[in-house]
Amino acid sequence: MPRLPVNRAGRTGIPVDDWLFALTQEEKGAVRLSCVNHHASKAGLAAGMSLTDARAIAPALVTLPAEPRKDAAFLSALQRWAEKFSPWTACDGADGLILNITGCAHLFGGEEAMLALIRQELADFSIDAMAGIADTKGAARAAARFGGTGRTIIAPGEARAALAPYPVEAMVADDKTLFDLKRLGLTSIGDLYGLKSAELARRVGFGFVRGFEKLFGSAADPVIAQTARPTYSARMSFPDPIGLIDDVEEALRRLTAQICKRLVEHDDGARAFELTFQRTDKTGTILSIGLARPSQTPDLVIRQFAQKITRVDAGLGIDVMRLRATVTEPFRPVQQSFAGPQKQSELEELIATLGNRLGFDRVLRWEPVSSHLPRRSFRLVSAAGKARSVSFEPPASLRPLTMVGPDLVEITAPGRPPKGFVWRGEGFQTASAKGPERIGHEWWLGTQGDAIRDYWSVQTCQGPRLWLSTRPDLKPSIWEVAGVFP
Amino acid sequence: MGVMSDLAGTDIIYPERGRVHELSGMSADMVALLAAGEGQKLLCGPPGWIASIHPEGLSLYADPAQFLQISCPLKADALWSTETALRSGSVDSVIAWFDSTPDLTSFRRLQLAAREGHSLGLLIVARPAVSSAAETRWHCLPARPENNDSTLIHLSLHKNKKGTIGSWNLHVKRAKSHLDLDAAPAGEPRRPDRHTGR
Repeated sequence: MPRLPVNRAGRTGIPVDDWLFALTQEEKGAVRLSCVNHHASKAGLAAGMSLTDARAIAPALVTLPAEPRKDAAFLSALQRWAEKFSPWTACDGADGLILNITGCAHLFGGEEAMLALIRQELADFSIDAMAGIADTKGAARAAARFGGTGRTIIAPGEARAALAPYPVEAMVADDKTLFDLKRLGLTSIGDLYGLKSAELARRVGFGFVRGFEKLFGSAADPVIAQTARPTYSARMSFPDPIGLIDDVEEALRRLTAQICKRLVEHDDGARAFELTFQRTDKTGTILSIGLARPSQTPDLVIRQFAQKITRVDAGLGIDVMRLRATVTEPFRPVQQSFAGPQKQSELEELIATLGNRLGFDRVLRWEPVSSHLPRRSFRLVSAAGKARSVSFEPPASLRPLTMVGPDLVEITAPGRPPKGFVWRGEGFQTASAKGPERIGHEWWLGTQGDAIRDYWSVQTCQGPRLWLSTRPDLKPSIWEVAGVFP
Repeated sequence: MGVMSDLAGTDIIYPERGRVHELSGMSADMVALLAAGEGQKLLCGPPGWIASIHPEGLSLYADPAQFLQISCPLKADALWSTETALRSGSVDSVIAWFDSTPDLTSFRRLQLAAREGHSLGLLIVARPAVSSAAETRWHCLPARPENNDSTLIHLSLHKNKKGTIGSWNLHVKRAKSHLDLDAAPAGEPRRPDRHTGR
């Protein structure tokens, strides 16, 4: 399907066939054409050309930015569609489909009729397609892409003869290999037949020889069918628009029950759901929730939606409701701790409730980090989706309960550590001090790291025990409060 | 009741489960840890306060794996989180930080939530108000211990809905696997300084 991205753009309602049309993408520091339509290629434009060149050739060119992700999603949708012809279907690159039609062709009236049917159906989707049938995956690919007519059929056993005039580009190989082959004067596949495979392997690598063998079926190259992950979604259309909260809740209950039943059947659990409302005037609202752990329990999902559902504006009434599990994971019902599964699942529900209102990045847990710097020895990670956090090793030396500042102190009586100082407007006298503990910077960070620091645990006469720090390399020394001990 | 229930031999009053209590003063966070004791705990407060607590320092007094943190830049969110967590009963205690005492209505909501979930609420308040709907109000100040390895906290119970007020010197010593607590009566309770203006 050489014009798949343009065809996809055309299907969204853009009248691409009326114009000189191309999709553009930024590549190698320039905006380049990534796909052109029929008129544009007649005018001499081609993919890979820079946009400025293309404009110079055809000033009337209309362009849109390419959307590779949407194209990939469209291709995989086509792959699922193609399963009606054969159970063994796969995507080939960014713009092709490969079907293993062994034992399927006669169901559609033979190979030629099947080829015509597939092309016809794709044309109905307004997709330009080129097709080819051959013994092996590689040969069929070459026939479709380089066959010229777009309906090439290579009869069984004739691949060698039929492929001889094809250019070497018809094989799956990287640019460097193709360049090497051309430098050696090997421009068509037929040129390779006379060569010994050992010679070829020495020149262009073993991978290419392997590809060559695959082309003629001497090496296995099966079509690996893409099994789709089951999608969990359910929708409900109402004969009359609904607007009462009870009705919405009942509909949600039924949708959730359907999805959870299917989740149980597939041993999957859902981590996030999306509920779409379509109003009578075709406008919509989307509510989404997350859960702390993959779940199959309908009640849990309903309780999480219950917080948000009251805020939905029903407008003139809701026509359609659609519930979809957006994130699914394999479900493992495990007892996570001796606190009891009941207690644990209650805690997970609390995490979900808090996370759905505040955001899951606000519900946090500590995680140890391997660093000797006090500020770097832990980090806060999202609590959702995590098993219980790892316990901390007891620190090698005393660490404060709270870190502050670092707050500069004003020294009233000098010393090491200072005998008297003012911190946050209050005067302190040192009663006793422990230290210094020297903590170096992370030398592997080079000059980016902090300076070396000396830390003292200072018991003040006023009561608080403070963690004072200073830099040994500075004269006169500057003192800071880095933390407070309990 | 947590680690503080080790003090059953002495005449100290300790925060009761199913209620919300208010702590103020420089050692309030340490007292909250001691009062919460074992079990799942939830810390709720502004991001700066959450980030300032050092789990390695904390691990000497409680297991950091038992904590869950909620960082709420807005006071309304912090109140809602505290109330939700107290009501759910899925955490044993909620330690929440507020810059000032929540107003009487909000505080009453918290009390009802704590009673429903039978959980312990401990509010650490930076600037305590004159009146508060707390079950008990404590002012906790660090004092200088005789022995430098231990912690001495001067605890003043200056409001108690259900009993007498009082003041104690709480002595916390870290033994190998547990904490040694000891409380001695210390005269009249001290009220927190009234904040004037800002």
